[in-house]
Amino acid sequence: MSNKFKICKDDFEPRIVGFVCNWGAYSSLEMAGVNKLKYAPDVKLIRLMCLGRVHTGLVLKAFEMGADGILLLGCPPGSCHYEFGVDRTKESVAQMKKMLNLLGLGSKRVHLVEVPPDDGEFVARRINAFVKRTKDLGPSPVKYAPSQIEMVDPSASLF
Amino acid sequence: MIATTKAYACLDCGKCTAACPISRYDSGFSPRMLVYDAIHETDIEIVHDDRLWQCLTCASCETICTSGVRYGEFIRTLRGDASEQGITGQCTHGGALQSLMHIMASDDLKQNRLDWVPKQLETATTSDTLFFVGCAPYFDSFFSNLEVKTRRAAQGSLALLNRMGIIPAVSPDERCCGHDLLNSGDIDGFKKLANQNVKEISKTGAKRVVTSCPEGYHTLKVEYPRYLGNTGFEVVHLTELVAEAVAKGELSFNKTKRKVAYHDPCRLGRMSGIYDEPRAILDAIPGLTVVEMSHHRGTALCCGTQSWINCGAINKQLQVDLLKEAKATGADVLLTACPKCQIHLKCAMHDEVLGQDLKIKIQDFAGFVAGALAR
Repeated sequence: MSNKFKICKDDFEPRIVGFVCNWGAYSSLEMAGVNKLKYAPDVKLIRLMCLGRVHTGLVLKAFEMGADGILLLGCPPGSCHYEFGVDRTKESVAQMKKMLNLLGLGSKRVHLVEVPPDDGEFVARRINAFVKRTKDLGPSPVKYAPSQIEMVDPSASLF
Repeated sequence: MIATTKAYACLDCGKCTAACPISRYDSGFSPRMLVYDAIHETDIEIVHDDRLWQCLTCASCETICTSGVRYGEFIRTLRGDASEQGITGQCTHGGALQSLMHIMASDDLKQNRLDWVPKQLETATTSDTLFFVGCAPYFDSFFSNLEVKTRRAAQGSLALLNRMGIIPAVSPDERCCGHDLLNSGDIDGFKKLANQNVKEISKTGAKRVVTSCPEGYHTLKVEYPRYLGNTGFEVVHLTELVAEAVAKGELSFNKTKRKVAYHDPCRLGRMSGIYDEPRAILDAIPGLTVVEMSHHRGTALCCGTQSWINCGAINKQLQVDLLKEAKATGADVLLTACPKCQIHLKCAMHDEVLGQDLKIKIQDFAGFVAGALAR
């Protein structure tokens, strides 16, 4: 095996959850796929109908379960499919950043990106940038593994 | 469980049902029926019962019970059994507060929670006395849309302590006291938080812990020794210290013409028996008129919900009742010592239909008293 693919022991692979709007950002991700663009595989993407659905509870739950960063891929102002989703997202993001600052995790672990529709290159670039930023921040200090939380084996097939 | 909580002693007299705020609106809910069912049903049936999560743990039933059934402990034990099987109540606020508490249980967390300390007030890193702040810094940020101002309780408490000549330690890495996890059945989570707190408190060398939050007071004073054994510090409520200083004439207040009503939080009143101290302090403020709501002291109404679980139409109705009673006294300000009461009641005021009828200024007790201090 060449050195290029050798994984260093201290290489930190961040666990990042990405919430994606179905209407704008997801189409951009599909465009990235169509154009065969490569982006970092560290982000586990979750498609939602609108980013207005993401509230502080979901984000804190992800951190509780061991996430190192949360990426929110939403829409630019004025282009929300439901008209009000962008405003809700902004309110929630302000709230979650305040909570993360108080907890000492830092507001940089959550990042909202306003993705223009059908721009694959843009979204791929921003995903890579966030993965790099999270790597620089290092692992999250949160360690809580209660019995109630079932960790999903990422290698297991869903079907 | 039936033996330790004295559930066997239930005489089926029904006083608890008459006192229970939930039973007032939900005829299907009754504390004694739950006790009856816990004795007669199988363990599996009882932990799947929805009624388990409706209880407000407000101790109205416990106060009135002639047989001494420890209902709070009874319901907590059943919730613990249920949550061991993965059954929980409906988390309010999207589960954010539960996650917050779980995150705080981590060892290596370095919080930024002290930004509420004003420059003119003094704190120390080590001291005989520690001021246990509680979750006020988090509440103000999380509930900013409700204009919740619980930080002022922390600031007011510190101002009062400083005025009494006490420079308390304030821990930068204090955790949530665990009250809500304990009361929603998450005993493991509670123990983790409690151990962290005992460790943080012992770092400051404090032998006495002062709290202003009633939930923190009851949890640190009663539940920590019960679950962890001897904690090595005594716990006092701020009002106990201030009332003592007032009795000795050490504190002087400005004259005011305001009219206030004081709401007894359940953790401070019914569960800890502190009714007289807050009233003695208010009486010492010259010119202040203190009025009582129809339900006060042991019969004080509940702020409607607890432990960030199960908030619905009945809970909202209980808050409306309390606010209407407060309005009826004609008071300018409703004082409460509990941050949760403030959050829940301010939330009820955002009702689109009834909101304007319920509007009354709500202030925390410590902040109000500190504001009245003479310079």
